[in-house]
Amino acid sequence: MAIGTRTISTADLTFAGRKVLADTCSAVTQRCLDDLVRTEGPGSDHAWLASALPQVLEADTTDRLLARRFLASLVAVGQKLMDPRTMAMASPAELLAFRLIWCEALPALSVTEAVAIVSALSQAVDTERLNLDRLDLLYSSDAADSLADLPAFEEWFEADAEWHPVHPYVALTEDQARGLAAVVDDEDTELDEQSEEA
Amino acid sequence: MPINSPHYRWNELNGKQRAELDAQIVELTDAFLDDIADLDRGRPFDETRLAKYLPRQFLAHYHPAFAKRFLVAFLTVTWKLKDPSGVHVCANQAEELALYALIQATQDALPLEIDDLSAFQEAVYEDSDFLFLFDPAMDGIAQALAPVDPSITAYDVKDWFEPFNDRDRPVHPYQLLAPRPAAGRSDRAPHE
Repeated sequence: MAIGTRTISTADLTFAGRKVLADTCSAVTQRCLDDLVRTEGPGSDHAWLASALPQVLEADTTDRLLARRFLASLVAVGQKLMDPRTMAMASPAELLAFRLIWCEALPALSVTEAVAIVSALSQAVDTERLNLDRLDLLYSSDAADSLADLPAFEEWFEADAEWHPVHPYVALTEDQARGLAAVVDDEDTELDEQSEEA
Repeated sequence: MPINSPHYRWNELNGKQRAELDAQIVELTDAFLDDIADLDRGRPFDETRLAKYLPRQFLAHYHPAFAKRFLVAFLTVTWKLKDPSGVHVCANQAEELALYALIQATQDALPLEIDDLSAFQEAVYEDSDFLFLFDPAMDGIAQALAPVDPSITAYDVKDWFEPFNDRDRPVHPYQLLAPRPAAGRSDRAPHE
């Protein structure tokens, strides 16, 4: 579950390897941002996002909120990637964001380094509902067969576990993404009232 | 000094303040993204919502590429704010300013009787040096002192995304490596 690159020994990933990952993360983030900024008005397709996601998911890439939630997930993954501590992928959407960075970085890594890090990461990076191998299948010619028992793409942004929360923008727009009115969590305000009464 | 809000005591951040902080994470993310789209279409920076939260004396240094990096700093610091897995701190000046934008917006949105976030602000920052950036009277003083004390707050916009003197603070790659309009590490727009 760990993706903090510094938790992997330098034998697995050299300084050059880390630099490649950082460069790639920056480039992918730039493309995601440009896609968001340059898409004209509501209802227009986010072309980069549409090309990055597996076609088989049939994601609505005209949905601006979906594109913004994907950016937040991508930024969270980039930060986790640079953090020296052990970090976990919070959702399948984060795993997908990681895969975009990883696949683009791979050709720039040396064969030895790539093999080492693939070995380390393929065991470390997954979520409760999805792992990298299964995600790869969604880009293959047998993609339709691999969809069974996977959630709809809109649900890919939901956290797998409470203790590994998704980016707050993603979490706080969950009801909006489902087409529901924003629901205020009364727990905190109830506690406020109780503390005032006490 | 950690910035993750789950760690705060009730007297530092009560429930209503916490709820408004959450609401402003969404509000400002959307506003900053809209700003970037508007800047891309030629809107002047001083007409954006972003400009409201940034030190005005550096207005000439703000441009669309800066806005994108600042948005990523905002998304990074809000992630840190809510991540329970470890203790986080602001990694650079941009993250301190992004967090300050969130605090300001939250204060503005709260009713007067509960809009005091000073205890939270005191807990969240390691120091308040960044506030000097908002004081035009201090313009130039830090540059003069910087050779003597390298730990002093970054007064050049080009340094805002660099990690503080402690290099162990991981900075999101986009903040450091994103393409900038001018050669080198300058944040000046090409026409400047």
